[in-house]
Amino acid sequence: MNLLIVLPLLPLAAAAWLAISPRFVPVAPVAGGWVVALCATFTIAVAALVAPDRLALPVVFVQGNAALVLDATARAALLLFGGLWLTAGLLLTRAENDGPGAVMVLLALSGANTLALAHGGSLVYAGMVAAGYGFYGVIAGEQGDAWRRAARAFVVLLVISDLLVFELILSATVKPAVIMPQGAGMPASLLVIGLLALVLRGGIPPAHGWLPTLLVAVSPATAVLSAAPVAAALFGTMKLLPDGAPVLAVGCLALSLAGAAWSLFAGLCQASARATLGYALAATAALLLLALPAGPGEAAQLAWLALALLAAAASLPLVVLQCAGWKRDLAVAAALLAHGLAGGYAAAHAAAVLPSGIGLLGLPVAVAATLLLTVAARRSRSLAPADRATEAAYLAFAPVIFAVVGTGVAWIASWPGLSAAAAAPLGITAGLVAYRLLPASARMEPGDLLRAVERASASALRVGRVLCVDWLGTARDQLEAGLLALWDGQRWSTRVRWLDLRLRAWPATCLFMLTVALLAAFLLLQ
Amino acid sequence: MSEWLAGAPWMMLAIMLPLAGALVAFLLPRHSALVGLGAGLLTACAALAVMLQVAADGRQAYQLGGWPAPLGIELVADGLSVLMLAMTAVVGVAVSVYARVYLADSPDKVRRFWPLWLFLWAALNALFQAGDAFNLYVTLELMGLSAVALVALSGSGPALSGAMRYLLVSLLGSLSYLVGVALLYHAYGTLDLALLSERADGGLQLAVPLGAMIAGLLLKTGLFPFHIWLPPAHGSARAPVSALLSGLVVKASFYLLLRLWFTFTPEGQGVPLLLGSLGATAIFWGSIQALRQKRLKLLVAYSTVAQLGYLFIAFPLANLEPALAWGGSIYLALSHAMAKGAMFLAAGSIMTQGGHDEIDELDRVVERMPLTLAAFALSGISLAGLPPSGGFVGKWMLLQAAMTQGSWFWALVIIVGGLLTATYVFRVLGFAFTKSPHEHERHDVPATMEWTALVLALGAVLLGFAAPWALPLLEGVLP
Amino acid sequence: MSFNTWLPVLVLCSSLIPGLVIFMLPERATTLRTTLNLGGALLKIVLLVLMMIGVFHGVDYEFRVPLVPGLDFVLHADALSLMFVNLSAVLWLATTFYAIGYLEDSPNRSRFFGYFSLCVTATVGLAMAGNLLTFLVFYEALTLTTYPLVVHRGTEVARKAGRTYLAYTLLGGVLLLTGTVWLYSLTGTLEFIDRGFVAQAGVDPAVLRMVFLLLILGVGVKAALLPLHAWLPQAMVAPAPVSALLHAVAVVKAGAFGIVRIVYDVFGIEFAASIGVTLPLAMLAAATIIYASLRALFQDDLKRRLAFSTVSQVSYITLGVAIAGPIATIGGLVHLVHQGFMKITLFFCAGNYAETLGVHKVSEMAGIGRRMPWTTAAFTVAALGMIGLPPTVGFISKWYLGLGALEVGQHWVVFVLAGSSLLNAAYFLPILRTAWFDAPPAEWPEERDYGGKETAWLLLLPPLATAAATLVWGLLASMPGTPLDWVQFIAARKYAP
Repeated sequence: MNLLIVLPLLPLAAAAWLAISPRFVPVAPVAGGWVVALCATFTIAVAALVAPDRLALPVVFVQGNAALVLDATARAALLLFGGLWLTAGLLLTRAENDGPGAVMVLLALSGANTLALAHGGSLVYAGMVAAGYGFYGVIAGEQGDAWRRAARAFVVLLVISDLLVFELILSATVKPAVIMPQGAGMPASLLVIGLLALVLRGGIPPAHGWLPTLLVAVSPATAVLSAAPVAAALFGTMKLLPDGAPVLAVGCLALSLAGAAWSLFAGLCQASARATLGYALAATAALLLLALPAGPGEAAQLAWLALALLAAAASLPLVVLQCAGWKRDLAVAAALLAHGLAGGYAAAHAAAVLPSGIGLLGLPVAVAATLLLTVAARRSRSLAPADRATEAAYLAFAPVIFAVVGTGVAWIASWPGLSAAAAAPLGITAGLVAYRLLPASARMEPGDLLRAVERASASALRVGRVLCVDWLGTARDQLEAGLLALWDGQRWSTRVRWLDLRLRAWPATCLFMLTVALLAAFLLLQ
Repeated sequence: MSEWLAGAPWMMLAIMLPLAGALVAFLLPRHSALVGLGAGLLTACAALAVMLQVAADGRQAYQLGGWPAPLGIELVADGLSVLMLAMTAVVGVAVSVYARVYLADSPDKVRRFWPLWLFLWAALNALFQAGDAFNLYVTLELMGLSAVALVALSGSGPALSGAMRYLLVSLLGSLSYLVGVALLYHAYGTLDLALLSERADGGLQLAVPLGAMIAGLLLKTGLFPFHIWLPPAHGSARAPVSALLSGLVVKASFYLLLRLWFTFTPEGQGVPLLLGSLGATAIFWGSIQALRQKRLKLLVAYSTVAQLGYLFIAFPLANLEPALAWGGSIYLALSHAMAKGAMFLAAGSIMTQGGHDEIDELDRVVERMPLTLAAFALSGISLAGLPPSGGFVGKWMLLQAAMTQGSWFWALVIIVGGLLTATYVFRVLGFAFTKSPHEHERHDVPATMEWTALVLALGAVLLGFAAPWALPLLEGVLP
Repeated sequence: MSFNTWLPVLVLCSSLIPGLVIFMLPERATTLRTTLNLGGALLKIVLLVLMMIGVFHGVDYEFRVPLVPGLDFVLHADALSLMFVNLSAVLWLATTFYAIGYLEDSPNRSRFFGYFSLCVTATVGLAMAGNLLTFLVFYEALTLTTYPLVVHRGTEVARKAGRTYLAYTLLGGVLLLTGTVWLYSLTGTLEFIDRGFVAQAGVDPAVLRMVFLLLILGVGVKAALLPLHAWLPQAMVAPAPVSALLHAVAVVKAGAFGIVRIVYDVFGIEFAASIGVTLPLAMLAAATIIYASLRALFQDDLKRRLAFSTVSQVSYITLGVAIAGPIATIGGLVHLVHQGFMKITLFFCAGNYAETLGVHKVSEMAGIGRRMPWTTAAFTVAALGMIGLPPTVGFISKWYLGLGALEVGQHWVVFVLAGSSLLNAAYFLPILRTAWFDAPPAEWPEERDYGGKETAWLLLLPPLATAAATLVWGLLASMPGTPLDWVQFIAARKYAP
């Protein structure tokens, strides 16, 4: 049996077992976390050890081009997902963790694995959908009500983004190859759709409002997994636009600069570490948007960079579980360094398709991302009591290791030049300085524009309701009721009865008869 | 088979058997039900035999006592007569079976019903086979008188006043018809229909008598605006009697009208248009009235008023496609006879069951009498022209004739009429499924009554598939 | 009079005769009634399999008797009719199981199952109709046999709903009759032929447009096109198996099937496009899709929300038919089958909720996934299918519809599809979230005890089976033997090669 097909199916089977078996055999809640960790380990093992492979699935979906492929991009994606889920699983095994249920986490893993391995428009779409909705299920499994706002915003953006991806794969199928010359790639309109889909589901500003709001409200396991939707968005877009989008490179640069600036401003004005982390993730996502038009690169370095950036960001929520000491400082430092180096590389990667003058403008984005991450790390106060801190200390290293691996593979596989390394020291230093200089009073609500958008959409919905239900619907219903009242309406009945009585009188009958007889005779004469 | 059929004078027997039966039933009042039923079955066989003869050999003629026309009485049976005979036979047998059970608990009514009914049957059979205008008058008169007596049979106040009105109206119509006959004889010197059709050539001497006859026949058929006698008479008579009246008696005068029309084939568009307009008004008026009714039997009576209008729509449509238009009208008459008969029988069963026939108090009668409601529904389907039924075939043919001629108005009339019919039929059905807030008495209804109504309704539905056999019989008849 | 002639009639009789016999059975004869029902359903499926094999090898099954002068009553089994008959037969089997479980201890079961069988007979006859006259006959018969099912409960509300239902459907029947007679008087024939028979008659296109309008409005009442759709939400007062049958199999699909027949086998799609009637039809379908989805958004009663969803989804079929392209045809036709399965699952689950817990409204469904997980799982699969997500069959139909629209350059259709998917998500996803992730109330409105099980087996298995079909056919869509495969076989013949 091909190992590739096992990767999506194993978490599904485990989730089914976890869901059904409690009816027959009582299963301790913490066992769920171990199952998650086990599935995640399997994912990592396959990603690390198995040779490149391809499993064609012609009967799946439409067009017959669906396949599961293990290439470098898939490897990086699997390592990222595996690492995130391993950490989340181990967090779930801690008894005081009131996080999401293991079943939803496993379903999300299955979706993520499918996305990582998918090849062929419809299978990639299926993977993106599964990963997105799976993550929504993970959020929804949280206790309490604080997650609802963020989850609602996320799912609305998800649905719209799904529609855009659907339009993309439809149009890509329709455009026949004869119209476009070889090597011309996709037309610009399709590229715009693809990138718009990425922006909406990947937490890239301006569609980032849900990310800080979410991170503030959830448990550590979900917070670690919050890097997953960004990753899923990026990897999905990479598979859908395999040659990148060189014609849109300048537009992406502008958008990511604006996004990074906004994130920086809003992130620095936050009170909590988690909120700042949210903005850091948004800035990282903007950085990935910047890097995307250049394509994955010869050694798939964009994928490894994404691994590094997102794993580093995902390690931040665990910092609070470590008590102050060398382990904590080592973890933070390694994470920040990995993030900075990867960010710089990403900026350099982006510069490959940008016009020579403005290629350097990518660097501030990388610096902003690392800056925010540093500030988030500094704002993280340790919450852990001394005895539980030990296992958490090692737990935090899991995503950090993956981040370091990602940076390492990217840098070693294809050396970008030392200028790319500038982002790391710049970002970290700027972050430390900013933390020192920030006044304590400047505070902003996490999610900034989210409330305004929510209010606008609620009033739009109200207008729609008034129009459809109250006006059109009521008018139509009244018309129908009026017409149906003729069926057994009584108003016309009395008038008809009066007429009937008149007609049934003898004088009327004799008159009619005479008339008819004479008329008939007259007409017959004609 | 033709030789075996030629053995007996079936046409004569079809008239004599019910007459003899009526006499015997009158003389033996205690066995009148059995005698009546037996005579009815035998008559039906005779009618069937006539039909087989005509189907095999074409138009049949029989001279009573061997005297040829124009002196003697000649009986003529062609396709149209035979179809009418068959219709009478089927409806007659069903009503006989039903009446035997229905009237079982009122012996004084029983001994009067059977002679009158058999007399009516004899008159009908004679009318359908009559070959000259005066015989038609005589049989028409006989039929009218026995019908009036049957209406008065139930003895209640409304029945008596309805019967009185029916009598007066009937006499008025017959008078008018007789005037027409007299004028015809004065003009052409003969009353035999075949001879008249050769000699008549239009002009005032044809127009006036024909006009008088048409007016008289319209009065007897109950076309709007001459329908005044129909709802009281049909609504207050006993159920089997109403079935006979709506199903057979009004068809007889319509048959007469058709005969006259085919004999003289007047040209010109005036009279057909007049008749068609009266028919259209009848459809609307009858349907609207039916919608208003609170009592089931009155609803069915007004439904007859409406359905009679359909028969007359064929007149303006017979220009381009006479076969289609007349065929449709006649088919509608046949299926209406069976469907309306079934409907009245079903209404009778419902009234027996609950003691009343208020429509909105039917109180889930479908649970207690599913067969009766099925009969009602099936006959309603035929009346409304919903497929598959005889009514649908008739309507289709009329619609086709209308569309070929491009007459939008008549097509619209037919369609809207169908909708209105369906409306009031389903109104009743809706109440039949619904629980009523009041309590009602419950009696048992014998299964025979339910099954008779159902069989008759099924006949109306099955007529929908019989068109390929029935319509070719009309070939020699239509102009 | 060979077997080939009688096989269509046998297929009809396999539900007609059990239906008539069931009417005569007393209320207590449960075993006999169940045997008759299931026996008839299974026999029908066996006969249909025989027919499918025959049609695939080119055998012609036709039954013909004259009905009115010049026209015959024709039952003819071609690939398109077989698709619809199979859908009806399979879903009838599932609904029979469900109805047996649902109506346990209800009064008047013999009457119910009798009319049930007659209703399926009418649907099967409609599917196998070989000319427009036969189609009309069974179309009206369908109205008449479904009316007693709608008023089954015998309440005043049911009577009013039946009245509305009849008003609309009789109107539709009358319009169809007018159009049919007119068409016959213009062309002299009514037989269904691949690629239509109207083109040869040489009639003025303006007249043909009027005829098309009449015909489409006539079948459009049953197919719930705007503005003739209002009977559907009101007919929800009927018991759940009736809603399932009406909205997934019989009435609504019959209307959609009628539109398919009229556009492809009476007018011919290419001819219809040339006289310019397909674009207005597509726009009407699009308006229905959006309007009905918007209405569904504001309904709290679960069955009414599903009813408006049906109105919207059936217009997908009309939209696919009206876009004149082979791939869009595949999309529209395959959605006929797919939507049947998905919608019937949703209605089965709604019936389960009402029957087991007394839950009728969406606002009462908090945490129902914990109490009834299997039912809610089936509901989830079907709802995701309605939104059009892979791996359900809903994605397959949307794919072909979108692809077909882009293929012929009608880009606005993709926007309509996208908008409709968005609205579908807006009214289905909150239900799913409430059902799975909210806390259940302390007490359900009217809970019935099934002894520790979620609900009765007969109520649980049909939705699971249809949801499983939704998943399997959606995932393995390119396998031979799926509905998609059969539809591709059908659609190829509707276009000039």
